[in-house]
Formats: sequence, C-alpha cells, structure tokens
Amino acid sequence: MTPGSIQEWIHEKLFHQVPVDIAVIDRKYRIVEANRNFRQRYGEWRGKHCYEVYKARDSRCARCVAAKTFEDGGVRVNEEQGIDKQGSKTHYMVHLAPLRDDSGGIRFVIEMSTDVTRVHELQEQLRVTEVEKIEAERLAAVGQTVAGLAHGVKNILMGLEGGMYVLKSGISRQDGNRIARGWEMLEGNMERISKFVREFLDFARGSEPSVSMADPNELVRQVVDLYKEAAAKDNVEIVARPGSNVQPVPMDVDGIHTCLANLVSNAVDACMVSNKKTGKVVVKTTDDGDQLVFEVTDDGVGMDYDVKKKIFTSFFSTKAVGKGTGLGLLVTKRITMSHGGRVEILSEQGKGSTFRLIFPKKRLPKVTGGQEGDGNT
Amino acid sequence: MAEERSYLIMLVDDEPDIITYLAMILEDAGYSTVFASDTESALPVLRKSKPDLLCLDIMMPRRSGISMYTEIKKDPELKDIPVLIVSAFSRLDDFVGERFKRIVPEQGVPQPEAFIEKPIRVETFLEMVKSLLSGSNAGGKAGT
Ligand SMILES: Nc1ncnc2c1ncn2[C@@H]1O[C@H](COP(=O)(O)OP(=O)(O)OP(=O)(O)O)[C@@H](O)[C@H]1O
Ligand SMILES: [Mg+2]
Repeated sequence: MTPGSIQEWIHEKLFHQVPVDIAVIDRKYRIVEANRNFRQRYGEWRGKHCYEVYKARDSRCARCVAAKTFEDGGVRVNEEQGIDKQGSKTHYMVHLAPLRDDSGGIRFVIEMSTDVTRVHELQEQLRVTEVEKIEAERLAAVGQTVAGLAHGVKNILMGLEGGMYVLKSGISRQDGNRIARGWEMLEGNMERISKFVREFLDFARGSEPSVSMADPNELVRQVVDLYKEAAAKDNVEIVARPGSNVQPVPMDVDGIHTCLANLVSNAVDACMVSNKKTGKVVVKTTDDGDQLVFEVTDDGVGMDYDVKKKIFTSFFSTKAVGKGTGLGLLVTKRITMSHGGRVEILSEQGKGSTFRLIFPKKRLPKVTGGQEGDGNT
Repeated sequence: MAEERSYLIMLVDDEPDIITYLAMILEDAGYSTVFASDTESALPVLRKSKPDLLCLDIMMPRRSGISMYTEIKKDPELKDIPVLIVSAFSRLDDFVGERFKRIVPEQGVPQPEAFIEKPIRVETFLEMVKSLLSGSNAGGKAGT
C-alpha cells in the first residue's frame, strides 16, 4: 500500500463504511464534511448548519454540546433526539471530539453518532410489556375468582337443598327430629351464603390503595405482635426475623399488613391442626437491593398437590365450615400483584410450608400524592 | 332376592350437612350408610366395613379426596369398591378432570367409576348409586 492508498482506504472504508454517522462542523456550526451513513440518514448536508440537518431547526440548540467542545476541547458523549430525512424521530448517542490544527486551535468538531432508536423502542416495549403483564396477572386473578365463587356457591346450594330435603321429608313423616335438623341446615347455610356474599362484595370492591414509604420490618413486627399472644396459648411460637439491610419502600401499608396477617394466621392454623405438640412460625424479611422479600414459614401440616393447586381460588378452604372463608390467599395474591410482586410457595405435606411475597423494587408502585387516589381497582 | 339386601354405602365429606343430606336420601331409599368427615379417619372405617360403594368428596382438610382415591385403588382389598366422586367441581372442570386424567398413567390407577356434581339432583344421584351397585355387585359379595 502506498501512503496515498492508505489515505484512500481510511477515507473510503473507515470514514464511509463504519456503521456510525459522522459529521464535521466548523465554528459557525456548518457541516463541512460528513460520511455516507450520515447522508443516508439525514439527507443533503452541504452548506447547511448542523441543527438544520440533525434536528430540522432553524436556530442553534439551547444546550449545544459542540459549543462546549469548541470552548474547552473536551471530548463529550451525549444522548440526543433528532429528525431524519423522512421526518421520523431518531435517538442517537453522539461522541464529540475537537479537531485541532497545527497550532492547537480548535477549528472543527467531529460528531460521531450511533443510532439508538431501536434500543429506545425496545426499552419502551419492555416497559409496556411489564405493564401488560401486571394487567394480565390481575385478570387471571379475577378469572380464578369466578371459578372459586362457583365452587363455594355450589357447596352452599347443596347444603340449602339438603336442608329443604330434610325439612320436607320431616314434615311429611311428622318426624320432629328431622324437621329440627332440616331447619338447622337451612339456617346455617343461609347464614353462610350471606357471609359469602358480603365478603365477596368487599373483596370485589377492593380498597383504594394509598401508597406511602414504609419500613417492611416495622410491618412485620406489628403483625407478629398482633398474633403472638393468642398463638402462644395454642403452643405456637411466632418469631420475627427482620432483615438487617431492609430499606423503607413505597407500599400500600394496609394492603401489605393484610397480606402478612393472612399468611401468619394460615401458618398458625397449619401448626394447630398438625400432630406435633408445638408449632413455630417464622416471619422474615430480606432485601438484596433489587428485591424485597417477606417470608412466612411454619412447621405445620403442609399441603398436598391438590390443595396447593387450589389455594388461590376464592372460597377454597380446607378449614371447618364457618372457620375459613377461603379468601385470605387470593386477597394476598391480589395485593402482592398490585405491588408488582408475586407469591411463591414451598410446602411439604406433614413438614410445613413457606410462603414468600417477592417484590422486585423496580416494580413497586409510586407514592400516592395528596388526597387524590389514583383510582386503581 | 339380592335386591332385598341392604347395601352399605360409605360417605366421605367434610361438611356434616352434606353427609346428613346424602345419608337421608340413601336411607330413605333403603340403603345403609356409614360416614367419615375426613380422609384420615375414612380409611380405617372403609377397611372395616367394606362398603358396596364409596361416595367421595374431593376438597377436604389435610388430605384431598384424590389422594385417598389413589390409595384405595392401589389396595387389593379395597380396589373393587366402586367410587362415586361427589364434588362441587364439575367432571369437565380442568382441575379435577385433569388430575384424574393424570392419575391413570402416573399411578397406574383406573378412573373413578362415576362423577356427580354438587348440588346433586336426588333422582340422578339415586340412579347412579343403583347402577354402580348393580354393576359391581354381579360377581362380588352379592350372595347374602
Ligand atoms: N401455611 C399453610 N399450611 C398449610 N395449608 C395452608 C397454609 N396456608 C394456606 N393453606 C391452605 O390453603 C387454604 C386457603 O387459604 P386461605 O387463607 O385462602 O383461606 P382460609 O384460611 O381457609 O380462609 P380465610 O379466608 O379465613 O383466610 C387453607 O384452607 C389451607 O388449606
Ligand atoms: Mg387464611
């Protein structure tokens, strides 16, 4: 290669073929040289100002970075938005460097831009997908609600029909015992259905979340204190293990309190029906910087596959009639999801269960400002 | 003559109202009943009384009816007792249906003899009971 051909090579290959848009501007912000890529994106540049070509403006940009480089000779990187020759918005990262002459003066600035429009689109898409995912999760919870509602209502209906059968047959046989039993069944199931409807309406309505900065460990302490004494009477010990680097985060405090209370009361119940003489429930928090986790572990009865599969269904309960409504975990899941989190379960029959509420901190809601609730339902 | 014999039907359900209801229907139709309100206490009763038919709920405390079902069908002493699943889940419900579909290949256990959805219709229930009893009883312990 001759020096001439090297120069040609640099100009042809490097300048024109690098996948970067290159323009050189003078102190009057006129473009004096540009590569093919630049021209392809922004169109004809000869005799024009940089702001005309990059941004379709007719005066200089308010915050002109090139001006600074002309001033101090510094190399700069900046993210900019422009308008290409078709009029579409572009996002680009621009590297600016001074081109000095032999005396060290800066006559030109070279601008090398990489188009990041696609990256921006992807970022935006990702954000939208996250939002859609939360929405889809919400809908899924509603779907489960309908199935669970049907299951609960069918059981009560059977109780009511049973009461009718027993009462009617008692009347026709003049059997006082049957009449009494039938009546009792009707009453009991009437009460059940009205309780169901009430609770379901409460559940369906939900409550307006009001998000504020709160200390997760403080919440854990409150919930543990709430249940500790009563549980101790049943030989169940509840222990709080607040994580040391847990930071305050934006949460709907009442909502998360409800979640923890549900998990703790379930854990205590699980210990009480187990065969062991004593039970232990541990409520833990951890924060690894990205994720806040609440964890409730018990050494109670645990769950088998069938129970595990159904626990987020509304009105699914394995507890005595009138004791469990079967909304606790569904409500917990709903609140957790509305904080962008998820519920994880580990459970082994006969050994115990662990319920985790996992909150990626990036997805936590924003603190609700002023009195205007955001109307989330 | 075999018709005159009082068949024994076992009911397993955690809701006392449902046991009362089913037991009365069956007794009014001339059958005898035994019952249990959870799977744990059900197995010993089942072994002892060897009923002609088992009516089994699915969602019960501690252990579900499905796991009790597989245990029964794996037990040579009990496996011939026909099982009628009485559940608020419908037969086609993906949860129960899918679970039972999986039990067959996974556990080498046959499908339950019949399903009925809560709330039951009395006539349908009695018809099912009758046909299950006549079906299984042909060669079994009919000769009383
Ligand atoms: N820690 C646990 N160990 C074992 N089983 C559990 C545990 N937590 C929940 N379950 C099972 O999940 C079911 C549903 O729980 P959920 O909290 O939704 O309803 P519930 O406790 O029965 O009624 P309630 O609406 O009053 O809370 C329980 O009935 C129980 O069978
Ligand atoms: Mg609960």
